[in-house]
Amino acid sequence: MKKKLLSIISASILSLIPLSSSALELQEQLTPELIKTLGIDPNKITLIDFFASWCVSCRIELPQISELIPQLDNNQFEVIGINVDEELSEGQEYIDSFAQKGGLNFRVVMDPEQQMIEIFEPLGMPALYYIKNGKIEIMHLGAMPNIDDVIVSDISKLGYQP
Amino acid sequence: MIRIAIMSSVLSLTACGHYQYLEQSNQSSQENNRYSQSNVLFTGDKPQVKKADQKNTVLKTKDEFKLTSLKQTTPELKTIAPIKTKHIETNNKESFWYQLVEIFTPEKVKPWQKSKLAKATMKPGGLTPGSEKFNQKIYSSKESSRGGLGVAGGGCGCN
Repeated sequence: MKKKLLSIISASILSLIPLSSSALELQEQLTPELIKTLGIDPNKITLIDFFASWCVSCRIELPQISELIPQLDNNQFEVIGINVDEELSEGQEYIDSFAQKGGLNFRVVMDPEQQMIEIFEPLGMPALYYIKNGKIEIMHLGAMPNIDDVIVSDISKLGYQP
Repeated sequence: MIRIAIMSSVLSLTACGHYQYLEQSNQSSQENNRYSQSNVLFTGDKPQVKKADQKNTVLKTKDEFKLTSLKQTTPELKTIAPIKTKHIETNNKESFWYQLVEIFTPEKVKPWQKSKLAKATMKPGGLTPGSEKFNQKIYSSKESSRGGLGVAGGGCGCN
C-alpha cells in the first residue's frame, strides 16, 4: 500500500515538472539573430568552439586549433571561440595565458552571462559545432585527441578545398 | 394425441388469460386518464387503448412518452452545471504550481556551469594536498583502482 502511494505521489510530482529540451542538434538551423550576433559568414565553414578556463581538455585543444588556423584558407574556414567563464576577468586571464605560446589566432566571443551556450546546450565541454549555410553539420562534444587532424578531415567532408 | 390435447389446453388457457387481460385493460383505461389528458398514450408493457372517442390520441413509444410527460409535469427543469476541471498550469512561471515545483525541484548543474565545482576548494579534501593524498591512498588500497575523483568524471573530459 505504501509503495503504491509513494509511486502515485512520485508520478504526480514528476508529471508537474516541466520538461525543456531545446538543445540545438545536428541539421538544425541557427536563427538569423544568432548568426548576426556571432558574425557568422554564410559563405564560410564556421567552427564554433565553446571553452572555459576550468576545462582541462580545452587547455590542450585550444593551442592545437590555434596552430592549425594559419595553415588553412581564411576565405573558406573560420573559427569562433566562445569563452563561457562566468567571471569576465578569469576568461580574459585565461586567453592572455596563451600569449606565451603565440596567442589565439581566432576570434573569441566572451559570454559571461552564458547566453550563447544556453542556446546550444552541449552535453559536454569542449563543444565544437561546424556551421555551414547557417546549419549545424557536425558536432563534437567532449575531449578529442589530435583535434587538428579531426578538424581537417571534418572540413574536407564539408567541401573545403585545400 | 396426448401432445395435441396438452397444446389445445394451453392455447385455451392463454386465450382466457388474454380475454381477462383485455377486460382489465378497459378498467385500467380509467387510470390512464391522466395520460389521456395530455393526449398521449404509450405502447409497451401497458395495453394500447383505442377508442372511437379518443381520436386525438397520438401513440408514441414509452421513451417518447416519458420525455413529453416530464416536460409537461416539470416545465422548469434544472440543468446540471458542467463540472469545471482545474488545469494545473506548469508552464506559466507566475502560477502557484510552477513556483511550488520550482521550490522542490533541485536545479540541474549543466556542463558549462561547473566552474565553481571545478575549483580546488570544492574537493572533499579541500585545499590541503596531504588530506587528498591520504584519501586517495585509502581509496586505491580498498578499491584497487584510481581515478574518477574529478568533478566532471563522466567522460566529458573536463578536469
